[in-house]
Order: sequence, then C-alpha cells, then structure tokens
Amino acid sequence: MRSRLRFTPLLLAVLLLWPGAASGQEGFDQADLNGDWAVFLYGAYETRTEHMYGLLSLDEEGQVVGGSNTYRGIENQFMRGRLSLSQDGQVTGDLLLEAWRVEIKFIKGRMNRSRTEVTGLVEGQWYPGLIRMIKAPGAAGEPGS
Amino acid sequence: MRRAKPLLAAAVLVLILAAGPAAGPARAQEDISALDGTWDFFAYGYYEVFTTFCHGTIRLEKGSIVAGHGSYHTAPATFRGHLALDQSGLITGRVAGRWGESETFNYSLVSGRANPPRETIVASGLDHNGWGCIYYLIRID
Repeated sequence: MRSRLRFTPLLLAVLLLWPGAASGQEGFDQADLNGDWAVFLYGAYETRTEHMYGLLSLDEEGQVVGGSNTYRGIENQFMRGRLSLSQDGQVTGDLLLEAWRVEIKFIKGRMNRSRTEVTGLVEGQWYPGLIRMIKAPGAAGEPGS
Repeated sequence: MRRAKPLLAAAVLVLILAAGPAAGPARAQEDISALDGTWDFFAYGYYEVFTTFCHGTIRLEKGSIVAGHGSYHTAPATFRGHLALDQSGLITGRVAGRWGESETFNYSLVSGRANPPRETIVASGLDHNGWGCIYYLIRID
C-alpha cells in the first residue's frame, strides 16, 4: 500500500502536466464553432468605412442558425452562411447579412487554441476587412461548458 | 496517521506542480523563446484613403522570423523580421518581407502584448508608409 502511495504524486503530476491531455487541444473539430459568438468587423476603403458588431449563433456544423448585427449603423439579421474549421484551426466560409445582402467571406481565418476566438481577414462590401469573433461566456459549445 | 503522511506529501506536491504553470509566465516573461513556434499573422491599417492589409504564417525562433509566407495585400509574399519581449511583457519588433519582383514591406510593432497562455498577441504600430496598423498573431503550435 505504501509503495503505491509513493507513486501517487508522480502519476497525478503526469496527468496534470501532460501537454494538452486535460484540455484535449490536439486537433480542432467542426463542432468547436458551435455556440454564440460576438462578432466585430472593421474595414476601410478610400473614403468608405465598413464596421459591424453583433451576436452570431452557429450550430455544430458551423451553419448560421441565428443572430443579429449592426452593420454601418443598420440593425439587421444574419441571413445565412456557414463557417468551416479545419483540424489545424483554419477558418473558412461566409456569412450573409440582411443589410444590402452583404457577404462576409473569409480570406484567411484562424481559431485560437483555447477555441474561444476567431481572427481573420475577410472580404467585405468593398474591400478586405479585419474580423474578430469572441465566444460568448456560457455559450453552447464553450470549452468546459 | 502513518497513512496520512504520504497522502499529505502527495497533496502538497500536486499543489506545487499545479501552481507551477501559473507562476511560470512571470519567470519566463523576459525569455523571448516563450514565443517560439508557428503563428498566423494578421495586419490591417488605414490612413486617409489608403488601406494596407497582410496575412501569413510565420515561424519564430528566439525572436527571429526564420520562415514565413502569406500575402501582402493580394500578392504572394515571404516574411522575415524579429520580435523582442521585455521584462514587462511588452512586445516590439517588425514583420517585414518581400512581394512581387523586388518590392518590400515593413510592419513595425510599436506596442504589443501576449495573453497569459501566449496564444494571442495583439499589437499596434505603423507600416513602412507610416500608416497606423493593428496586428494579431495567433499561435498555431
């Protein structure tokens, strides 16, 4: 019994410190997109600026299932769209806004390793813009929820 | 009582080990090697009627960008440069590179910070034209 207890700290330490073992951060999964995301977009082109903020709901397939936003001051809905997440964390896809039927299309996107943020460059109404998505606290699909 | 001693020792050791990663960043803060790895780089800036944007994947080793590729605006580009990390956690440096035949670009990071797990760096600075820019670096590995 005593010899077993002697190894307990070592075993617990290995379990605690094993890289990514506890958090399961080895590979990304499409379902990591599932949940509610606060979305922020900014773009500028010549004398025009493009800015949007809102809340976007994605299902486990990355499909838009709800959400509203304010795009250049106009309150509107996310009409449809789908985002894809590769196993190495790259985000692609597009979102369609009700306002002017603007299509926000990812040029390059990346999810962070905690699966709580997406950062990317997107094609907006006129020109590329910078997008940030932050997973809402307590949202479905949030790691640990 | 005899059994309690090893259990207590185990609990203390586990607590010390568990606290290690939390205490680690303060010690490692001055070590640029903490940023070693592969990152996605995003830059966006605007001035008057001009926009600059750039994205790519860079490999950092001891603060130097030893490899990198992506796009400067819409042109394929290669990256070089370096980052520095001071004791307060301030990140500065430059992400530069080449595109086209012999064109160059240079994004300076004037003030940047990494989040505690060092998986995201946010920075502000200027490009080679002096246009104000914001930068994001997202760790891949």
